[in-house]
Amino acid sequence: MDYRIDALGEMCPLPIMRAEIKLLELKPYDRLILKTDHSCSSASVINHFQSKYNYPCQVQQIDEGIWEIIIEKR
Amino acid sequence: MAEILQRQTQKPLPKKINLKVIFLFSFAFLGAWLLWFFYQRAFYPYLFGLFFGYIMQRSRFCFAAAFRDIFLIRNTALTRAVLVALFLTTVGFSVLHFALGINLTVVGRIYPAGLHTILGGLLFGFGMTVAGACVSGALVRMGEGNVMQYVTFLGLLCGSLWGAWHLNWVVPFSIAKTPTIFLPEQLGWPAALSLQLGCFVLFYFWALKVEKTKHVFSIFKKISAAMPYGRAAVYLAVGNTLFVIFYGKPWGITTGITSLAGWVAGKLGIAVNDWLYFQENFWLADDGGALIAHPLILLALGMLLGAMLASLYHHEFRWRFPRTNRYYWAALLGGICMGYGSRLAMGCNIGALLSGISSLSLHGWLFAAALFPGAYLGGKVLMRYLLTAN
Repeated sequence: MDYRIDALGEMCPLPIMRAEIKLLELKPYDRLILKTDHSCSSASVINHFQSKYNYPCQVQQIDEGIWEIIIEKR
Repeated sequence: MAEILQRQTQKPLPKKINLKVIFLFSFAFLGAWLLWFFYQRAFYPYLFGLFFGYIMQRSRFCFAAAFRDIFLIRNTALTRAVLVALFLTTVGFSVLHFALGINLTVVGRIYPAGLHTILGGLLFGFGMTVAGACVSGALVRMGEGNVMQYVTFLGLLCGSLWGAWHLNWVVPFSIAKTPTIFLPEQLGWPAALSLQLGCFVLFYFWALKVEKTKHVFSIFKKISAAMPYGRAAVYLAVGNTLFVIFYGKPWGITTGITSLAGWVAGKLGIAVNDWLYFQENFWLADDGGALIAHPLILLALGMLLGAMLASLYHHEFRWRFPRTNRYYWAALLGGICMGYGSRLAMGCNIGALLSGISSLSLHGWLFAAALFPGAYLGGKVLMRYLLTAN
C-alpha cells in the first residue's frame, strides 16, 4: 500500500524523523511517499533510507523546488 | 499510484536560463566588476562566496546535520563529510605553510581556547539545531528562498551584536587570560599533524560504527540529483585553501556579520566604536576594514547570491514559508544563540570549526567538542516542540 506524508514547509531533519516514525508502522513492500520543499531533505532522506536501511528510494522533482521521495520498506 | 508512476516516467525538468537567471548573473558579475575597481580587498571574498554558495546549494552540505543527526536519526553521512573536509583543509593549510611559505601562525584562525569557547560552542550547537541551519547553511537557504532563514539571519545579527557588546566584559574576564594554543608549537609539527589527521580517520570509522553501515565511501557515491556530500567536502577544502592564498585569511563568516550588525547599530545611534570588538587593533585589523567596509560581508552576500543562482538555474528556487509560526520563533532563538555563541567562541561553524581546526588551533577542537552536547539539547527541543504529528 502507499502512504503519504506532506512535509511541505518543514525544515530538516523533521521530514526524515516523521518518515522514520511512519515507516515503523508499515509492512514490507509498502511505500511511503514524502513530499518536501526543503532542498536538504531531498538529498538527506534518500541518503538516510537508501544508504543506511537499504530501502529502495526514488526522488522526483515535481515542481519548482518541490520533491516527492518514494521509499519502499523492505 | 498511477499518477506517481506517470510522474516517474517524466523527464527531469530542463536546466533553465530565463530572465531571472540572466538578471541575477549580470548583477553578480557587475558586483564583482565594481569590487575589482573600487574595493579590491573584498573582490576575492565575494568571488569565493559565490563558489561556496553554489557548492553548498548543489550538495545540500550542512554542518548542523553533521552534529545533530548522530543523536536524532543515527546518521553520520554529513559528519563523515565534515571530517573529510577537515582532513583535506588541514592538509591544504599545511601545504601552504611548508610549500608556499605562508606562515600558518600568522594567517591561521588561532584564538584563545578556554571556557568561553566551550560556552560559545554549546550555544552555537543548540542554536543551529533549533534554527535548522548553521550560519553558512542559513545563507544558502536564504538564497533558495527559505523565509524562515531570513529570520535566522535577523537573529544572527542581534545575537552577534549582543555578543560583541558582552566581549567588553568577557575579554578581560576570560579571553585575555586563556592561552592561545597552536598545536604544532606545543607538540612539534610531525606529532601535531599526524595526531590531528589520525583523529579524523579514527572518527570517520567511529562514525561508520555508530551508523552501523558497511558502505565506507557511501558519501562519495551519487545517489540523487544532488552533488554527493564527499565531493562537496573536497571542493570546500580546496576552496578554503585557495581562499587563504588570495585573501590571506581562512574562510570565516560571522566576523563579517558582526561588522554588519555593528554598522546597523551605529546608524541607529549606538556607540559601537567604543566597544572593544570594534577597536582597530582587535581582530578586525587583519581583515583590512571594519563595520560596513569589512570584506567578509561581501563573502556572505556572495554565498547568498551563489546559492540563489544555483537554485534558480536548477529549478529549485521557491519562496518557502514555514508550516507553523512556531518555526519563526525557533529560527529567531536559534539565530540569537548562534550569533552570541560565535562571538564568545570567536568563530562559527566555518571560522572556528572548519578553519580553526584546520589551522591546528586548540580552540577549534574545543568548539567542536562543545557543539555535540549543544546539538543534543537542541535535538530535545526540536523533538518536543517542533515535530508535528503525522
